[in-house]
Amino acid sequence: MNFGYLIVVASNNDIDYLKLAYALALSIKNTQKPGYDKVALVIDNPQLVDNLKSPWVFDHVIGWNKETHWDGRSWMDQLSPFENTVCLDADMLFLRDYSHWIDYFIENCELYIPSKAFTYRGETITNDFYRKTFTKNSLPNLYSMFTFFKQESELATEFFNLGRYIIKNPVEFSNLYLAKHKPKVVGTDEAFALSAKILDISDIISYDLEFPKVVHMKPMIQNWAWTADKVTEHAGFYFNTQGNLKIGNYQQNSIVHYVEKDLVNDEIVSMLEEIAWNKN
Amino acid sequence: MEQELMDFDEWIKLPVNQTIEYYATFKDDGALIGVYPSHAVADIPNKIKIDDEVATLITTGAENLFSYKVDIPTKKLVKLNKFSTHSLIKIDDILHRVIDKKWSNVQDPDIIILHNAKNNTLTFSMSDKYSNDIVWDGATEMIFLVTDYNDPNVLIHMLSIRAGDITENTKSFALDLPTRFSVYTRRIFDKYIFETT
Repeated sequence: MNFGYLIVVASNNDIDYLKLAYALALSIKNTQKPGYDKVALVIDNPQLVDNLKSPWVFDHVIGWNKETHWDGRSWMDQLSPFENTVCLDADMLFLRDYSHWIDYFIENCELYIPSKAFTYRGETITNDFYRKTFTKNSLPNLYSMFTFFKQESELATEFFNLGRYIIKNPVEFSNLYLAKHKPKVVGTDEAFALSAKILDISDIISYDLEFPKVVHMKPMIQNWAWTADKVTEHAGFYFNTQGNLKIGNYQQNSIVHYVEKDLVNDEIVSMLEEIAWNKN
Repeated sequence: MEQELMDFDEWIKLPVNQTIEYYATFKDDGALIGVYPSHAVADIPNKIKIDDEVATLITTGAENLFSYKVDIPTKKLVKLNKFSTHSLIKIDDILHRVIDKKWSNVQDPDIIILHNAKNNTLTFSMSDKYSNDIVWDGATEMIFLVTDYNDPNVLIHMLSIRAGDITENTKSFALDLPTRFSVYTRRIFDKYIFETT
């Protein structure tokens, strides 16, 4: 089996995406079984990785600067060194072993993108506060933050090629397909959803599964009776030395997409490092 | 006889004493009534001389009369510090984790918690800026929760301290503490810091 996780980051003046990717890679190493814990990092400045205390958490470091910010993820199929890949957003944490699901994906899917996300209390997110473009234009509700694909899949290649074309031509595609509610930016989620809709493969690549259960910490979709700028204004983020995470008083077992980039600070990174060092 | 007036240009050049001394008048219980220049309170018995700086703060509205009172036995003006200096809005205000100095950018903390790992003691102290002639107003209890490391759901100890206890002194607790733990509190002051020695 040739499987690994792919994280694509680029330099940014405000956010240290490498630190987020490093924390995610540590959490993968700490929780996944051997053989299911490979991580490849795509970064515009690979030298920065040498400054990390444990650069070995990245099994592959790929220098690439063709795109900036999140657009780089749309090139995941061409950047991954693995035959089977899950591409992740950098601002996520793994909290337990999910490797049995990887076996399922490898056996049954060429391309899989989840269409559900969850609140920190485990409720399915139904609020479309951040996804008006999807509901108004009847796009499949894809979350590209966890995208499984096979390198040799023609379906995946066609899907990613169209996704990239959409990102490169946002105005034309918005006018044609997203006229009922145009997004400010045609990001990876919108491009992938539109690509799936145009290719009419939504049901093939995003059917209902119990995994991945990604907790999405955008504030306005937490089923709260009040508005919020940040989840952590109302619920604490408690990561402990065993690598367990509570949000408020809810123990998290799923993958957490924490969104607020400053949540994973040097202290949490040091805890993740300590766990990794003790494990190895 | 007609009075001879001084030449205006000479009169305007005459030195004038510009120094004004300010006095605060107060009730029998020490509550302030007003702030006046010295010549306006010549006949008032309950008065106390105050610094120009304090007078300016009050007269310009930066502070009000209720921010101060006269300590009757010592006849000194004392500042009444509003106990809660921080608005409780976020969860981090209601349940604020005191961050270890190692990980914190906090400069000039208001409250310092010192952990002596050898003696297993926690010592609480307050910034020197609160030590001069301050009287704390209202209920001043501060509750500190000693919990599992970064998990306030697991409570180990609950400590209660009054602000006055640590305004000019420190307060120590000998406790049975695990190797790693966290301290949480209601965020009354802006800046807290935790330090291990």
